[in-house]
Amino acid sequence: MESERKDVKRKGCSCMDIMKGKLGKIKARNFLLVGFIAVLWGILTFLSPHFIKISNILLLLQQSSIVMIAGIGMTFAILTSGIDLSIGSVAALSSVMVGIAITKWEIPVFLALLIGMLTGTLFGMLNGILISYFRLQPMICTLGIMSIARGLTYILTSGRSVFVTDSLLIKIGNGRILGIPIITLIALFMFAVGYIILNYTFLGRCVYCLGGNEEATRLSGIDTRKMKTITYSICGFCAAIVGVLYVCTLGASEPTVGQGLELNATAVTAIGGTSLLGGVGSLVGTVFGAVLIGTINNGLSILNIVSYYQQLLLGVVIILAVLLEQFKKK
Amino acid sequence: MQDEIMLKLEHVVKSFPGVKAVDDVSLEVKKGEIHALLGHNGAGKSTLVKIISGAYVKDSGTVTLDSEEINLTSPQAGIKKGIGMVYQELDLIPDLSGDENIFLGQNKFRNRFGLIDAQSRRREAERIIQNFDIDIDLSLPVRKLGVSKQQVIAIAKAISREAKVVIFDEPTAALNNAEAECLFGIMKKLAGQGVSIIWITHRLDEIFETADRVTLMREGKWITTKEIGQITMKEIVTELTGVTEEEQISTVNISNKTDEKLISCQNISAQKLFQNISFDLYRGEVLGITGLIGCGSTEIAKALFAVNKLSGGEIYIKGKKIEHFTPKTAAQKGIAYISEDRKMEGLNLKGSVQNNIVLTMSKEWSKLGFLNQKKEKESAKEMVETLDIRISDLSQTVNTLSGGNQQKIVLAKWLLKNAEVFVMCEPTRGIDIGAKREIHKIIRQLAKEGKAVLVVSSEVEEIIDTCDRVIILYDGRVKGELLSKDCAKKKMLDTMYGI
Repeated sequence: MESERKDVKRKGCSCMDIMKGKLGKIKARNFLLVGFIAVLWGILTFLSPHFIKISNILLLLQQSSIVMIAGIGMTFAILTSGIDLSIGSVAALSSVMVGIAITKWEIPVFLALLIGMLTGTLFGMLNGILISYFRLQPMICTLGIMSIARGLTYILTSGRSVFVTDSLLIKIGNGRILGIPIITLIALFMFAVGYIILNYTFLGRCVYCLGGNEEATRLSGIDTRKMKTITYSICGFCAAIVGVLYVCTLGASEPTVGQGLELNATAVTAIGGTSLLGGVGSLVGTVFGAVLIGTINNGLSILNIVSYYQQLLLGVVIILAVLLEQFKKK
Repeated sequence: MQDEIMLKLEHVVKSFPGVKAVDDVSLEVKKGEIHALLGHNGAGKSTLVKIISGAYVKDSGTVTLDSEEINLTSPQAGIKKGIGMVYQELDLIPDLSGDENIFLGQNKFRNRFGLIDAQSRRREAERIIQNFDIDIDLSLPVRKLGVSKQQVIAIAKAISREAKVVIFDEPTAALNNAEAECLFGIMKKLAGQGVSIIWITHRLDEIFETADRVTLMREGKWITTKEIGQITMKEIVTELTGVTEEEQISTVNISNKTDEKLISCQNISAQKLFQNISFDLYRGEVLGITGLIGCGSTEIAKALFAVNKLSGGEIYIKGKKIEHFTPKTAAQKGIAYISEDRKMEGLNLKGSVQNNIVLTMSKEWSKLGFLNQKKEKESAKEMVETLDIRISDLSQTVNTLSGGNQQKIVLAKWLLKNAEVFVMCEPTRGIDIGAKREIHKIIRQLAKEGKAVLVVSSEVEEIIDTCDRVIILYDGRVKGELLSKDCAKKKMLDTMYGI
């Protein structure tokens, strides 16, 4: 059939067309988001000139960094048509492990951080194993792990904060390099790595395929269970980084941190245009989603509006983003 | 009564980005007639009936039902007006009972307390079903019924609201011959009661027995509408494909079979699905497995790709006994699996053409986990050209493609993998004649190139056209084995029915 068919003249699809089509789709969605953020920034600047000062914008980015990292992990889970509700608790557990490792076991800070990261990654892996090898539903499974991780956090600390006064950690949490907050740099680095994984690696291809059609992927000879486990491990790793950064910014391991983080992370993912059914979405959207939420929080505090309104506005933005997605489909 | 116009379409147009799916189509459907609608995949017939049913909103033109102009905006609105649709993939809720499904969304069976009156609903459902002379236990959840009975439930659902027009979208795709006959009986009965039937089908032989008139479409345009007696099958095929008659004659099978056994199954069984099946598949051979639906043929195919587990027997690939069989190891050993359900098991519908085609090879080509995107693009492009897959560009998502093109993408996946054994289940289900012929050609070509192909099909013609040898199953056991050159249709059908 090779020789027979080759002479059939077809309209060639040049790579430029492909680039345009692919980028066009993602860009349109993200342009809308960026446009919305720009309008919001304009309004806030009009209401308070302090808003647009570089120092405030950097602060805004700093404030967005935690949810951005959590959102990156969540995007991986959601793209496979799953979800990880345990990230808030796993972050807390990771932060507590760092605190305990430094104060009780008195091991080097560097090793303590590693233990924290390992904790989160292992919990992510546990999620992945339960979901893919034991076929638990992601929502219920991670809900269970969420409670287990939170419980462990309280047990390990007896519910009390563990203060960590290490200069290196404080520097990471509150320091700046070239004026840019270090945690923002970490968040951007995480984004870059995540973006490369999703768009340029086999693992990333699998993440999209798992969300698109898991059975077809399995029947193409791909070890879907392994791939899913790795994906949830990545999500757990992101949660661990969040946990470590909690210690750095707060100077303490608080057993109560990270409550509601899983919902905010889901929100930024959805606002960023990732379908909760999986298979479709981008990490760039998630980052802008985090900036949008950061803008709302920062703007309201600059305008001296009670923080209760933050919750309300966040809800409105989520609904608007999803509505927009629906209209676009039609 | 026969000459009263029930449904009238005038200059209907519907465009999608880049394609005019329905281009200025005018059509009249008479009261109580069975009107067959034929066309290639992508000819616009599905789009046209979706406009009639209300699932799509037309761009321009008018639709008149029972001399009243209608502008539907949703299928619900269509149902209210009396347009019922029986979808190819039946839109039933598996865990609800038959009568619950039939009257789903209708709020009419209430007792005086405003609660659901299940008894009168059951009675009403039974009344509708009795009409069809079929015995169905309406109390069972519909997933426990066979496909043909489920279809009767879907038909009952479509007509339960005094439908004036009922649209059937390829209703016989999942039925065996006896079930199809039964369905035609129902259609005729409905027509006799004054219901107009629009019937989309790919099986030409069916329409001559059952339809009154036939409309042909090609590339979104109306070609002709004829009384069924005024057109022959050959004329229809010529009109639909635009191919001249010489080319239609199928190529004579020249066997390329060698002596090298690629797969050998010995006494394989799987619970109640099939028992003690043994066969060998040789390099260069196209082996068919056929039988009535439920005979176990699909399950055997699935067992060869480790989708189903065996309860007994052994599979040897190139003489080596297989243990710890998974789809992954099957793929590594050179087996390709083309599922009967390409949407659920074959394709990532949300993914691009390119990503679907290269899925089987992405890992092998990638270095240190990084995709070799240049190679992926080149290979995908080559496959698109080789198989003549009609797409606008490689980043197009596959859910926008027609069935034939989707199936070619599934084939492309495994051609790229350079698989040696192709296990194909119903390879041309829901595909138009043109694409069907192309896929049959590909099957023969694969054998010529020294691959082995196992074709599982319930379509006798498909088996005759493609296979060197055929195994006929009846109720999970081998009933007969024939060489293709001795294959008479009658003989094969008799064996399939267990005679």
